[in-house]
Amino acid sequence: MTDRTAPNPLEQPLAHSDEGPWLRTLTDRLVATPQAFLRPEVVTEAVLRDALELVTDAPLEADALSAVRRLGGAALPERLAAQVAAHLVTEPSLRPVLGARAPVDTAAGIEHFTALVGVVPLRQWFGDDPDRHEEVVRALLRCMAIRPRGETHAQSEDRWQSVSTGLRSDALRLAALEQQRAAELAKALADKRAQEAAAQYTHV
Amino acid sequence: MSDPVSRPTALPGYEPMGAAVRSDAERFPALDHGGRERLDALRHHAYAPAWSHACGDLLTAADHAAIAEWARDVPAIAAGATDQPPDWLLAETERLARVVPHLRRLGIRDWRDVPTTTRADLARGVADFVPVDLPLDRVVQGTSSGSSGSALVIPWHPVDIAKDLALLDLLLAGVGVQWREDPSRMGLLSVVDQEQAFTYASAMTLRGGQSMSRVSLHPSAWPDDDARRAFLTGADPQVVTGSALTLQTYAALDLPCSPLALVSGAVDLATPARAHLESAFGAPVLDLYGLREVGPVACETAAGAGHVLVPRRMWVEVVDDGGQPVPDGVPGDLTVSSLENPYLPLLRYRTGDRGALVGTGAGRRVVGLEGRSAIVFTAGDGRRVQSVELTQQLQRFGVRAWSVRQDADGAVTARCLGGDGEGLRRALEALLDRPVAVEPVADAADLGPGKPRRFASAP
Repeated sequence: MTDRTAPNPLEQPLAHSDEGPWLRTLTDRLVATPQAFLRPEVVTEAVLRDALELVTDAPLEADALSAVRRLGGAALPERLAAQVAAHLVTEPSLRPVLGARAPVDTAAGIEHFTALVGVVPLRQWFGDDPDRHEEVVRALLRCMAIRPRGETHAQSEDRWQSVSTGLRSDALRLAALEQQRAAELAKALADKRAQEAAAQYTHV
Repeated sequence: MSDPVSRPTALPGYEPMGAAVRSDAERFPALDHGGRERLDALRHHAYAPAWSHACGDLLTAADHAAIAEWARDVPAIAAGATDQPPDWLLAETERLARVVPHLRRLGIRDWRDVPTTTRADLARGVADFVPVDLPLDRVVQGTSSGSSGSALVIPWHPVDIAKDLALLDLLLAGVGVQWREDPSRMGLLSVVDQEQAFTYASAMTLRGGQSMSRVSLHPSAWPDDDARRAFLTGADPQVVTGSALTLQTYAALDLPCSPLALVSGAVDLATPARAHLESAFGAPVLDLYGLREVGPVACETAAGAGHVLVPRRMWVEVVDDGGQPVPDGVPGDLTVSSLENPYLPLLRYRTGDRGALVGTGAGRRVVGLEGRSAIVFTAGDGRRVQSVELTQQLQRFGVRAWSVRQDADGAVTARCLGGDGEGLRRALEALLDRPVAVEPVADAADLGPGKPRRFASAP
C-alpha cells in the first residue's frame, strides 16, 4: 500500500515495483492528453473521482474521497498535474494492476506525482522533448510502484535516475528556493512592523 | 466612548495602539519639522477621537523620486490602452514566468499560456504569486476581507500604496480640481463608520508633510457628538475618501466644510447618492473601483459615464466563464493584470465583478459595472450597520463561507459553513441588537450558485 506520508518516490529509490504497461503506450497517451484535462476551470475532484471509479469499477470509499478532495483543493499547477494523471491512469493496460489495488493507494500515488510540477513545469510535459515525456510517465508509474513492461525493477530504477537527472539539479534548487521564500514571506508578513502597515488613502 | 475590549463584539487585534510598533522616524523617513509639528497637533487635538492605531507612509526620498517618475509616465500607458495586452505587459510576463512560482510550475512560455487566477488561488498560498527575486525587507501587510471566507493577507509595498496619492492627483486634475498643498487644511480624510476600525493620525510626505487621518464616524469612536463635529470641522479636509455608504453618513453631519472632491469606493455609488453628495458639498465625486489585491482599476466621474480605466501599469480584459476573452461591449468577468505591486504582480486576476469594456486609449472604460452591492442591516435599536461589520465577526469566528439575510420584518438569518456558530450568534446579536438565527450548511454550494452575494437586506 502506498503511504501518502512516506517520502516521495520521486526523490527516493523504490523498494519494489509491479510490472505495468509499455512505456510507449503511456508516453503516447500523455502527448495526446485532451485539452479538456488541462483547463483550469475543470472540477479536479470530479475528474479524479470519475477516473478512479473507472479504474476500479466501484464507487470510492471515504478514504479515497478524502484524498481526491485534497487534490481538488490544491494549487492550480498541482491540480492540472492531477488532471493529467487522471487521464493517464485510465489507460486500459494499467487496469490489471491498478484495478486490483485500493483506490486510496492510487489517489495517494497521484498526490505524490503532482509534486513533479515543481521540478518539471507542466508546459514541458507536452513539449518536443521525448525525455520529458518519459520522465513524466516514469514519475507517475513509480509513484504507484509500477515499472514499465519489459524492464526489471533494477533497470527501471536506473532508467529513472538517468532520465530524471538532466534538468533536475537546477529545478530542485529552484523548488527549494521557492519553499524557503514562502517561509520568509510568512515570517515577513507576521512581523509586527509589517502588521503596522502604512497609511492608506483610498477605499477599494 | 465605550470600552472596546469588554464588548462581546470585540475583535482580536483591535486593542487600541496594540499594532503600532514602529517609531515615528521609521514611519516617516522623509517628514520635515513642519510636518512633525502638524502631526503632533493632530494626534493631540483637543477633540480628536481616541486613535486606535498609528502608521506612516514609510517613504524615503528615493521613493518620492520613483513616484514622481511614475506619475509622469503612467498617462502614456493609459493613452495606449486597447483590447490587446500591451508590449510592456508581454515583456514583463517573460520575467514573471521565471520568478513567480505559480507561473514557473505551470511552465508559462508567454502571455498565451497564462491562465486566469482567482482569489481562491491566492488564498491557497499567496507565496506562489510573489516573485522570488525581490528582497522582502519592505513588505507591509495588506488584508482583503472579500465577500466571503477568510480575510486574505497579502504583501504590499509602501511605494505602491503611496501611488494612490499621485493617482488621486491625476484623477482630480482630470475633473479640473487642482489639489494644491495647503498646510492649514487636512490634506485627506479617510472615513469609515465602524465600531471597531484602525483609525490614525498621519502625515503625507509626498504632499509636503500635510496631515491626513483615518477616522470612524461611529459615535462610539468619539467623546461625544460635539467633539466629532468640532474635530471634523477644524480639519476642513481637502479630499474626503470613504465607502459610498460612509460618505452619506459624512454628508449627514452637515459640516461647514468645503472639500475639493470626494472619492467613493468599496461599494456601488448609486446615482441619487452621487447627486446628493455633489449637491451637499458642491464638489466633484469620483467613484473609484478596485480591489485590494490589484489596487484601483477604474473611476467614474459623472453618473452613467462609465468607469474609465485609471492610469496605472495595469491591463484589463473581460472574460467568459471559461476564462476566454470576450469582445468589447460584451459583459463578463472583469479580469485585471496589474504590475504595480512588486510583491504581488498578478496576471489575469478575475475580480468576480462584471462589466463590459468599451473605447480605446484614455477613454477605455467599464460600462455596466456590477458586483459591489452596498448592504446595510437595521439593528433592533434602529442603527444602520454596514455589512463590513458582520464580515469582521464572521471571520473572527472562523466561518469559511456564508449568506446573511435580513427580512422585511427585521429577522436575521446567517447560513454558515464551518466556524463557531454559537460564538457568532452571540456576537451578531450584540452587534444587531436583535435575535439572529445561525444555520450551519454542509457545503458552500448550499449557499447558492455564482459569485456569492453573501449579504441581503430587505428593509
